[in-house]
Amino acid sequence: MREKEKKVLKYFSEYDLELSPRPFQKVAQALNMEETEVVGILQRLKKQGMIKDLRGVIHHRRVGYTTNALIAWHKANTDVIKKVFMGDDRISHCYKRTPQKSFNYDTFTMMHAKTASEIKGFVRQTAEKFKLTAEILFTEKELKKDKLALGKLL
Amino acid sequence: MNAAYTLDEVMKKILFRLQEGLPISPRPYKELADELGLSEEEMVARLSWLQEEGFLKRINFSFDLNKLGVVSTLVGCRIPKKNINMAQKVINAYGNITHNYLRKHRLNMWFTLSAKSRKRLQTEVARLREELMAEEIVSLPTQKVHKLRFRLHA
Repeated sequence: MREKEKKVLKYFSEYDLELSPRPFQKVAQALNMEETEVVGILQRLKKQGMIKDLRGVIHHRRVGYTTNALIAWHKANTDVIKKVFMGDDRISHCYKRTPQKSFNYDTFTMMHAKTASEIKGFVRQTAEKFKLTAEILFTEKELKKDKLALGKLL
Repeated sequence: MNAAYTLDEVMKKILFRLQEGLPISPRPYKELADELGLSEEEMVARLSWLQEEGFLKRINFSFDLNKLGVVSTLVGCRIPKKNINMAQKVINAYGNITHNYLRKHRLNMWFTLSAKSRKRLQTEVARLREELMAEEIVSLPTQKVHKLRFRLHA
């Protein structure tokens, strides 16, 4: 990656996009670049897959999703991942992780719902249907939620 | 907090559409406005309102950390109740820990840790075990991101 691309990536790992008609203008000024250059770099990084998306982050509690949980699944196969997890909008994250002896689960999903029983019901049904074991770890309190500053990582 | 249901249909449409990704162009809000049949001015005003009212947290870029050479792990640990404040302070000092939650489980504190290499992750987890005085700690390195996508309905 060239220096300019790193500069743009680092900037946007720390700052949100401004809500104004020409949101890249000020960014360009701050980075000592042209607006079209900044936009061009961002489009290229998107094409290369380093940027996944420019998107709005919704406050899920504010729209009624007051309950969420991390669900750990033991030996979730591609079938359940493709047929259930990928298509269900209430599931925001689905990660494959290296299981450990003391916590022997390999697939982790985050689910957002309006009630705890909605999550429990979903897990029970899915576990039964696909013959899986799972554990639900309801969220009690958010202690930290930051963006990852790429400054030291690139 | 149930004001969610005072959102008009246009606001709901905008909120949902924002999660689908915005075009990367000099005037992204104009393109979004054209698509939904609004003026650019009205779109920017509506977005500002959604943000002020707490429905929209932010608009920003999401990155494919794997493609950027960043590796990560999900860490669960058991922290006695009396030590939670101390543990929170320790974690807050780590710029590469972005999420930290209390969960209803034997392993009551869960956070994500990112680094430049697997080896670095291991070293940091070992150090955190000491610093957090965790009674138990389990690190679950990310193998694959199947899904990372918010698509909640207002």
